[in-house]
Amino acid sequence: MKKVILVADDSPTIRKFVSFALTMKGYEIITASDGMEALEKIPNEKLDLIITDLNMPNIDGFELIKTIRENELYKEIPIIILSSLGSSEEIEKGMAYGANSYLVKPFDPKRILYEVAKYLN
Amino acid sequence: MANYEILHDPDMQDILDSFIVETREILENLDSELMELESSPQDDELLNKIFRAFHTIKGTSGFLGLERLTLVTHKCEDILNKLRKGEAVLNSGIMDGILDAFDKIKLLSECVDENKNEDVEIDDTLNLLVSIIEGMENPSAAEVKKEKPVTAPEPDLKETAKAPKPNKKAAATRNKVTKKTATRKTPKKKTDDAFVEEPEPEEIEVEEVELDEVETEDDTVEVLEEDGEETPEIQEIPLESVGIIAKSKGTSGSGNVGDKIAKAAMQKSQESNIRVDIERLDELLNIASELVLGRNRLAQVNSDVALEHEGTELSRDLADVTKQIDLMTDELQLIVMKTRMVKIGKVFNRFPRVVRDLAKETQKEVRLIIKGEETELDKTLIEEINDPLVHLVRNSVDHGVEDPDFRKKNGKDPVGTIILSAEHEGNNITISIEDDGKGIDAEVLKEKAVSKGLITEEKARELSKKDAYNLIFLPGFSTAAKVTNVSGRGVGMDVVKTNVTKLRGIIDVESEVGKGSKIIIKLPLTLAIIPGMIVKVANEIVVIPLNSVVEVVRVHKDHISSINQRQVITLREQVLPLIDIDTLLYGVVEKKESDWQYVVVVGIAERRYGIKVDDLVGQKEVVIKSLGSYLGTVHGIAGSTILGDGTVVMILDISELINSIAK
Repeated sequence: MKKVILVADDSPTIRKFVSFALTMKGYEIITASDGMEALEKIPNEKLDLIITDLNMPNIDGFELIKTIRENELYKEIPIIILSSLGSSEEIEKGMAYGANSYLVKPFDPKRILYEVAKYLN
Repeated sequence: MANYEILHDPDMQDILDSFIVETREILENLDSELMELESSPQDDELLNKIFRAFHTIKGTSGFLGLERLTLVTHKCEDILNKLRKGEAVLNSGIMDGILDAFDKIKLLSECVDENKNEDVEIDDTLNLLVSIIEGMENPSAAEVKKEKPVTAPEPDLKETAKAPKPNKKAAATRNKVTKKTATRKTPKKKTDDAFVEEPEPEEIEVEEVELDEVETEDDTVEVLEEDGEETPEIQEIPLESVGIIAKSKGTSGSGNVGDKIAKAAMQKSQESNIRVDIERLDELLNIASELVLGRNRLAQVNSDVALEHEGTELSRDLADVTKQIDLMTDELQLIVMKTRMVKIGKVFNRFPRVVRDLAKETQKEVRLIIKGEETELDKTLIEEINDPLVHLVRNSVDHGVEDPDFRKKNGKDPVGTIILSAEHEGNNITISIEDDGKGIDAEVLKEKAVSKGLITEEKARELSKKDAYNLIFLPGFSTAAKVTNVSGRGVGMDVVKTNVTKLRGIIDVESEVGKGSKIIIKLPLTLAIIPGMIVKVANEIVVIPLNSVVEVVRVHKDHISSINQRQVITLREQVLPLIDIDTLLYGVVEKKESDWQYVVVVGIAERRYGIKVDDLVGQKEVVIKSLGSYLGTVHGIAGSTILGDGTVVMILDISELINSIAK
C-alpha cells in the first residue's frame, strides 16, 4: 500500500518539485494550491502525511494546521511545514499550532525525504 | 557566481518550465497590482497579495539555485513586509524602488528562460532597495537621504498634498470598472449581513459583477481542470466538506468562512486553466471551418432534396439531420472561437505602468481609466494590437494631455484623464483611446503637412476636418515640435495604421480643440471565419469581408463626379474615391451603364472608399481558405470560400486592392 502525502503550496513549481522528489521514492502525492483546497481534499483521501506552506491565499498554513488538529478524524496526521518564512517566531507559531516538523525553503530534497521517512516508516 | 547546473538537468526541465510560466503569470498580475497599490497604498489585502507574489518567486527561484532572483525578491519582500506591518508608509520613492526591482526580476526570469543563466546586472537595484530599507528602518536619517537619490524635488509632499482628491476619485472609478479590485475589497470590508444593508448602488453593481464572474467561470471549470491532474467531481464537493471541518473549528476560528469559500471559489475558477499549444487550436479551428463548409453544402443539398422529393420520409429525415448538424456546427464553431479568445485585460494591464512612467517623465498628471478589460478577442489579434495601443496611449500622454499648470489656467482638472476601453459590437471589437487634452487642430496639421512637403497647399485647402486628422497617419508626420524621447521610439502613427490594416481593422479619429481626442479602432473578432457581403461584379460573385464595410448606398449617376479623371462621390461632406473592382480584377470590362449604382463604402484603417458593385446578393458567414500553395498569393485576394451550392468564390482583400490604386 502506497503512503499518501498531501502537498499544499500556492506555487505550482514547488508542488511539482516536492511531488517529483517524493514520487521518486514511491509515495503517492496529492496536491492543493491553498489551505482551502487542502481542506476540501482531506476528507476524500486516507492521508498519511501533510506537507504545507504557510503563506497561501484564502486559508493559510497556520489556519490549515489548526483546523486539522481540531478535527477528531484528522488530528493524528503528521504535518511538516515547508515555508520560506524562516523567523523563529513563525517556526514557534507553526509548531504551537501543531506541526511536527519545520523546513525552511529552499531546502535540499534529501532533507525532506528524510523528514518524511521519519514519520512514515 | 552560482553555476546553473540544475537548469540544464533534463529531469528538471518540467519544473523549470513550470517556474518560467508561473513567474511570468505572477509578474503580469503584479504589474497592475503595483499600480493599484500606488493609488490605494492602505489596502492590506492588496499588500498581502503583492507580498505573496514576491515571496513565491523568492521561494521557487531559491529551489532552482537562482541566486540573483532570490536576492532581489528577498529585498522586495522585506520592503513589503514593513509596509504590511505598518512600519512605513508607501511613497513614490519606495514605489520607484519596487518598480525598478520588478523590471529586474522580469529581465532575470527572461534571461533564465532564454539563456539558462542570470546574466543581468543587479547591483544598482540592490543598492537602491537596501537604501530604501535603511530609510524605512531609520526614518529620521532618511529625511536627509531621501532628498538626494530622488531627482524630482519634493515628490512625496507634492503628490500627497495636491492630489488626494483626484486620487480618491481614480480609485473609486477603478472600483467600478476593475473587477479585481472590487472583489478583493468587498468581502473584506463587510460581513454578509452588512452587505445586505448596503444601499449604495455602486456596490451592488460590483457584487453583480462578482457573482457573474463566478458563474461564468464555473461553466468552464469542467473542461479546464487544472493541469488535468484532478478529478472533476472535486468542484461539487467543496462546500460540504469544508463545512464539516469548519464546524469542528468552532468559535476559535478567526475570519468568516463564508467569505473565504466565496473567495476560494473565485480563486479556484480563475486558476482552473489548462495550457494548450496554439497550433492545436489552429488545427481545431481549421477542422471546424471545414465543417462549416460541409454544413453549408448540406443545407443546399437539403433544400434541393426538399424540392424534388417533397413530403417523402427521406426528405423529412434529411431535414432533421440537416437541422441538427446545423445547430451543432454553429455551437462547435462558437466554442472553438471562444477557446482562442483572450481577455484584452492581458494587454490593458500593462498600461497603468506605461502611463505612470510617461507622466512622470513629462511631468504631467494623468489618470488612466480602463474599461471593458473583460472583452475577449482572438489571440492572434491580441498580440498584434499591443504595439499600436502602446503608441496611441503614449501619444495621448505626450501630445494630448497638457501640463498641469496650463490645464489649471484653462479651467480644467490639472489631472488629465485617459480612458482606454474595449467593447464588443456585433462581430467586431471596438477599442478606443480617449483623452481630455488639447485636442487636434486640423489647421495646424495641414500647415505641418504642407511644410513637410507631404501634401500641396491646394490639397490642404480642400481637406475636410476629418481628412486632415488622417494626415497624422502619413509616414514621416509628427506633430511634436521636436522629436522627444517619448514619441520618437520608432513606432509612428503610420505603423499603427499598418498594423491595424493588417488585421483588417478600421481607425477613426475624433477630436475637438481644447476638449480632447478619441481614437477608435475597430477590429474583427477573429480572422478565420468572417461574415462576408456577397456581391456581384461583372457577373462574378465575390465576397467583401463585412467588417471592412461601413455602409452601402445607392447613388444616381448624376451624383458621381470626377476629380483628376477619377470618379468620386460626396457622402455627408466626405469625398469618397470610387473604385471599379471589375477593372482592377479583370482589366477593362464592357459595361452597361445604369442610372443607379450600388456603392459599398469600405474602410481601411483611416481611409474610406466606395466600391462600385452591380448587385447585392446577400450576407453569409464564410470561412477563409487559402488558395493553396500552387496559386500562392494572388494580388487583391484574401482567399476563397465555398458557397452552399458548391461554387468557389473569391474573398477580396480590400486593403491590398486599394493600396494598389493609391500607387
